[in-house]
Order: sequence, then C-alpha cells, then structure tokens
Amino acid sequence: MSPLQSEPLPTVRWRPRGEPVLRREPESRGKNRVASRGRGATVGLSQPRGPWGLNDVLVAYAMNGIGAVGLLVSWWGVSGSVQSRSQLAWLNLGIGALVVLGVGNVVWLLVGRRRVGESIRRARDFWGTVSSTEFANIADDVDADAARLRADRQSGGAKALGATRYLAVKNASRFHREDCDLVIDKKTIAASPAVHLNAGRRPCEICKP
Amino acid sequence: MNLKVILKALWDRILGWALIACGLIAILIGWIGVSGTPFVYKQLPYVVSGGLLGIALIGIGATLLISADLRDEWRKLEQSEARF
Repeated sequence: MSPLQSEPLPTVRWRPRGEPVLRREPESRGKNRVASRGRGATVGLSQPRGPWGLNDVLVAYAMNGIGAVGLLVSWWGVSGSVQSRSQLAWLNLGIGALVVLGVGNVVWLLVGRRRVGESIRRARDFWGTVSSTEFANIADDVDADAARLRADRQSGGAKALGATRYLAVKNASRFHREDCDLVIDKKTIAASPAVHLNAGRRPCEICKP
Repeated sequence: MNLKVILKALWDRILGWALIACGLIAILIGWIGVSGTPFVYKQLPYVVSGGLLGIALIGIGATLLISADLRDEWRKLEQSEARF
C-alpha cells in the first residue's frame, strides 16, 4: 500500500481568496448559482478578476472620488480669490485632498499585495507537505489508474463507469469525483471518464475516481 | 491581434501610462503658468490645477500599473490551482 493510501494527502486550501466562483450544485438541485469565498467577495460574475473584493473597490473609488472632488473645489476656490490668506486655505484643502487620494491608492495596493502574498503562502504550505516519495507514488498511481480506465474504455468497461459522471475544471488536467475537495466551489464540466480521458485528462490522485 | 483585443487585454496598463503622461503634461502646463506671472495670486491656481492635479494623475497611473501586475500574479496562481 502506498503512503498515499495509508495517509491521505492534505486538502488543497490555497485558492486565491476574494474571487467569486460558480458553484455547481448537485444535479438534483438544478441550476448553477453564484457563490463567494473570502472577504468582500460578494459581487457577481462581472467583477474584474483580481485579489480585490467589492469592499476594496468601493473604498478605493470613494477615496479617489473624494480626492478628485477636493482638488476640483480647491482649484475653484483658489481661482476665485485674490487674497493670499484665502487662497492658502483653499490650497490646504487641495493638499488634503491629494493626501486622501494617495492613501486610497496605497491602501488598494497594500490589500492586493497582501492577498496575493497569502495565496502564495498557502500554495507553498501545501506543496511543502508533499514529499518527493509521495510525488513518485502519485505519478505511479496516476499512471496505473489511467491505464486501468483506458483498458476499461477499450473493453467496453463503460458499463461500470459510464453511468457515473465525473467533474473537471475547464482546461484542467485531471477529473474528480463530485465530492472531491478540489472541485468544490468551482465551475466544472461533468462527463464520463471516457470523455475526460479522451480530452487528455487524468484521474485525480486524491479522490481516485 | 487587432487593436480591440490589445486594448481589452492591456487596458489597465495603457490607461496607467496615459494618466502618467497626462500628469506630466499638467505639471508642465502648471510650471509654464507659474513662471509666466510674477503675481502669487495668479500663480496659486496653476499650482493646484497643474502641480497637485499632475501629482494625483501620476499617482493614479502608477497605481493602475502596479495593480495590473498584481492582477497578473493573481491570475497565474488561479490557473496553477485550476490546472492541479
């Protein structure tokens, strides 16, 4: 028995946060719906892809808007006066507006940098738990499973697997069972193993479809 | 690759550089305006509309450029995770 079978691999938990995803509900529950994960990720599918959530977008827009309006008002006030004291007051307003605008942009960048850093750390933590021996075992298991499934397909083994549908993320290289953690909360394609194998996908080494 | 595809893919970088260029132009116009008059009350509007606005535009442009890099990095992480 391989180490994989005796000790299951840790579940992958390094999906970048804050990204809205399409969750495929079980077929009995019908249509897809929008699900969200992470802080601030409460917007629809039209959200631009990135590490920022709706709250971050709103804060950035608000602070930039306040800064822009402040600059405009400051210019209007300075232009409408010829007294230095009055002009300096309006100039101070403009400097304050510039500070607000700058803080908004810095916060935006810091939030994005932090989210990307968290995602990278999660990926490193995950891959750090998989030893080279386990990698080799994974490769062996994958090859064996792929060969078995290919043989099943060629020998009409679809009777055993054909009725079962497995999921794969578009453009991904593996297909999974419906309850596999690697496809939960993801937009997936459901098909039989034969279809996935024809598309060049291999069975997941964690859920072992 | 036509212009529309390029604009769609690189809108943030194009906009960022455009804002930086506009900011530099605003600062240049502000400098010309300030240097063209000896009166402080006429100079200050140029300081606000040229100097402060130029700095703001450059800041927003730079933010867009850095945001584009962060978004690319995020997208790569997402693709790696999806491929696994």
